Amino acid sequence: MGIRKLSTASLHAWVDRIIAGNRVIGIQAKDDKFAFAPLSAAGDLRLDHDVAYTPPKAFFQPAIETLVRYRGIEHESVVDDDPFVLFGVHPYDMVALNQMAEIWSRDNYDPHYMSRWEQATVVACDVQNVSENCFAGCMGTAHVKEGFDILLTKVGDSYLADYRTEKGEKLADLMEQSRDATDGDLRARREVWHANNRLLRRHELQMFPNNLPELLEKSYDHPVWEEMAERCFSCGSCNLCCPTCYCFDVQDDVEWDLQSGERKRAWDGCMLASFAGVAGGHNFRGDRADRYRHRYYRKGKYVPEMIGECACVGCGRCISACVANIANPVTVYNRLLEDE
Amino acid sequence: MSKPKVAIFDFACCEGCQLQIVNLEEELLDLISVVQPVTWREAMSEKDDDYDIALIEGSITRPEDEERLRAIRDRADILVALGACATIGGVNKLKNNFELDEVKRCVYGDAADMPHLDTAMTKGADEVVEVDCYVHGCPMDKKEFTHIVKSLALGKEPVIPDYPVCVECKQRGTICRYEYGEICLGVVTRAGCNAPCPSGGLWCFGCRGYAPEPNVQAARDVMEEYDLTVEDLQSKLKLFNSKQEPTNA
Amino acid sequence: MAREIAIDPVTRIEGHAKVTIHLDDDGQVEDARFHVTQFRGFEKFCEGRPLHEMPAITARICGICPVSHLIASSKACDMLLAVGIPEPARKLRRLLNLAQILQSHALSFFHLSSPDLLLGMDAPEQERNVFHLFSSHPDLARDGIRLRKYGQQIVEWLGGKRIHPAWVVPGGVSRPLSEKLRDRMLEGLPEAREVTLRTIQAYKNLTEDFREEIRSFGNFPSMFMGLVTPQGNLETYDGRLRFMDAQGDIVADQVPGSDYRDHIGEAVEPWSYLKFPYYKPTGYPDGIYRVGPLARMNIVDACGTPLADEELAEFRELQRGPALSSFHFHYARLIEILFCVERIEQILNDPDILGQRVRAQAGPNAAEGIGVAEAPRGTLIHHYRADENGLIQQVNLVIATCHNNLAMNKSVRQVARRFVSGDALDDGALNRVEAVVRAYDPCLSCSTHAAGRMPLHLQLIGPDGALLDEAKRG
Repeated sequence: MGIRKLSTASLHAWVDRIIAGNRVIGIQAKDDKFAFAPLSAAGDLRLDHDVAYTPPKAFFQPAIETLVRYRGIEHESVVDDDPFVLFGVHPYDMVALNQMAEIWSRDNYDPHYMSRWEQATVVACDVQNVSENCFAGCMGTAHVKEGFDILLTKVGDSYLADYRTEKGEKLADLMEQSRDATDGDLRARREVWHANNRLLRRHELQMFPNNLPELLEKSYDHPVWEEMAERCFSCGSCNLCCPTCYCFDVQDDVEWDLQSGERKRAWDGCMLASFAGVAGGHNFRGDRADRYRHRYYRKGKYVPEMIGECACVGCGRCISACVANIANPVTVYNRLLEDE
Repeated sequence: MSKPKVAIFDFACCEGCQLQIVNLEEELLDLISVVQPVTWREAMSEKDDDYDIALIEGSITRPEDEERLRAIRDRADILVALGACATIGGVNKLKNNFELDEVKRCVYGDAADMPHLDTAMTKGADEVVEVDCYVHGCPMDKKEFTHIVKSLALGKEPVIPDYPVCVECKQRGTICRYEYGEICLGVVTRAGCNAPCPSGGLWCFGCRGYAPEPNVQAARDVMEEYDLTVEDLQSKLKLFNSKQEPTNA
Repeated sequence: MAREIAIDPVTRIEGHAKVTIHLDDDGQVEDARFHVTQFRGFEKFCEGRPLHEMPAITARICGICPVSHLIASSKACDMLLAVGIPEPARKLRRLLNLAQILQSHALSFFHLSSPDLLLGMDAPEQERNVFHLFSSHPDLARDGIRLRKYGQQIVEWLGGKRIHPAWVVPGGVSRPLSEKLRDRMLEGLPEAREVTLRTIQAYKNLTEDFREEIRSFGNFPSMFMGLVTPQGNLETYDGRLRFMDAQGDIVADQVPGSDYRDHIGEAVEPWSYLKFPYYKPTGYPDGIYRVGPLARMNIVDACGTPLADEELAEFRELQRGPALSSFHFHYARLIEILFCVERIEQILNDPDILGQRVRAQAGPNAAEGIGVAEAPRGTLIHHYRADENGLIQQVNLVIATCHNNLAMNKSVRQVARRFVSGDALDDGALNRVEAVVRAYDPCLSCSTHAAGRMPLHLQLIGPDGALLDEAKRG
């Protein structure tokens, strides 16, 4: 374990060596945005990205995945155990991935998700350019201390590579031109972290996130839910682009023999109209406002009560994704605080 | 168990949905292992009035079409509407925004008065008879069609998406058209197509019709924020959702 | 006594049609007509639509050749924008059009016509369909499916979906082609070529059995029309119009598509929704001309690709001057498939095809736009007028199948006279009437963009107008 320093050119050479021996998913340009996609050359890697359009959860919980193949009552579980390197994860997304690993492994351990998580080598990187709606600084997720195998931080024209795990070390071994980081380098890195804490605040939450459960406890009947939900399309965009939304729906895809097939799960979202619909036709949250409220409670109360951490990591994707412009958690939580 | 007998009937349309069945290619053989086609004008010369499932393609544009459709409904146990023309009237409904006489005169000039050039308001199948099952889209999606056929063969209710197209754009990681200040009907349109138009760099045309409980009012309200007008929105909605509640378009 | 036979609907064609056969007092065929029996009104309901929607709307005219409409429409819209489109976009559109012609021809030949050709015109009705071919001629059925799939696959890869792909746009195309997809398209080529060559050979072996049909299936003098390159070769995307008379003399050449009205008039008859275009200098109805594969093989100096040109040389041996029997549409169609395969290969190997600049952006700059391209069934013309905001004010569409309307009617008459007599319809005769319609591969949802519905309805009508017998399908 250690912290190495390497020039941008050496970083590229290193990444190309990683690509030569591994399946690498890296952050790249997609039109005028950025997205994680299979990486074929270091030159395509964009560690200067502001935010990945789709959160990296998609590589652990794909939008649609097969869980089981069946034929009559015979069946086999489908578990993806193909190792891969995920390159360029921002700190707030890393925090989200850590939460997901916690959630998918407690109670009912999910082998599908957890296998991918175990097979992944995650290379995180500190933010170099702030996206238009990021408020990670308010959520304590502007930098990250754990969960990654390597953390890259750009200091000046070079990168520091902090490798913490065996998987991280294996990749670090592929570095050719690098040297150990000096105390001065580490100071410079701390400055980047401090600066990011300040900069990643395009919206300012007027409280500490750990006060949210208490605030929400008192706000169930607040008029904001009805008001905002008026404009809600129930399109689920805020759920699906969220790095900590993990709900899914399960359906069978049957073959023409009508005997065999695949049981698949797909992303679902609590904002979708039939999310809480059950057999017999009842819908527990048939009302738009009920669904709208639920998302804020989920992020700010229910999940925190389960794992002790706020489920909103401040990536700001929901704010950008919402066509109706009603999905900003900071606006809603601040409003509740004001009216308290 | 004997295979259900299936008949396919076309009304006013481009026949692209029937072609989607041909587009199953090798899977056509699988299809006929599950159901038995007895009447299919486009692929067969043989015809038979004894069938269990009737697949209806096209919109209803003449009084005699209505009679024909009612007769089909009477014979069929299950009536399935294939594609936008049958499910919601499709682009043919654009015609309803004009005086019918004007429509004929535009195409045929003075000859428009000839008696055979008769046309009426365009209707979707369920404006004439009860429809049991909808295969949405223009054209219908092959995968959704096969899912529905298999479900019917199994006696199960098919699962048809009841959420907006946005879900599929998010699943595919497609960049939202509103990011570029363009109108996209995905926010009020039923998903199930896997959103090929936005992923191809265009807007959603709304060919699958409205999602259940579409928030059209919200769509109107947000136009201004994108430097767009309600008229722009209405114009886009008209293409596939003319005179269909609750457009107000 | 008065008699009329009706075939309604005509089966195994794209669209709904009806044929009526009128008998005289001696039970001989006096007249036969091919009707189109429904109305949609696209020309009207495009009024007021923004020009950028036109390709997507007009694609909905037809499910089998949406790509042809997308292309003709986009070309008309390019003119409304007054832009020249980037070269890669031009090549990509051309590629899409070739893939579309390939798949449509494959559908026409394998799925719709081959049951007649392989099983015979007199085979039992319940056997003459593509499902039966799966068991009687599994290799050929498989070939047909594979070949068509190749074309459709290219359409889908380029356009995102197989039918009504929203990719061809005014000013170019909406996305460039990736290297990965280009390579996948190249991978499929060898099989497509093999299947095509195999099928052409099989077809040629069959034709001996159809001498009588060749003689009487719409075998008459007519003019022919289609697009040609400046060198006079086969052209599907750009090019100008050439008109050839029945003797093989070129009567008009290199006519810009935008001048179509100087050469083509459109008549309406009281018994069909389908308009009747005619060659204006000759007048109506003598200005009968044919379009599509048969016409194109007749008018061109060469295809411009080696294998197709070898076949064209053989095609030219069929008779002195232009091939006049509409039965030869089948052969012409197969040669064109070969041409498509070869041209697709040339285009895919052109590095330009991967160019990233594929769309010219502009607002409305011209009041009138005319787009002409070769659709599988013949020349397709989209003609728009727009206001200064780019809203469409007037639309005229001259559809490939329409051009053949006079010829189809004449062919139906000819076949009816040869094969129908007496007051009852025998199955073989009925099928031959349908088969001649099928040879033109009419796309009636298209040609009747205005119309739409026409399952073949065959009516046998006596001199007093009474209906004697009828066969209805669909």
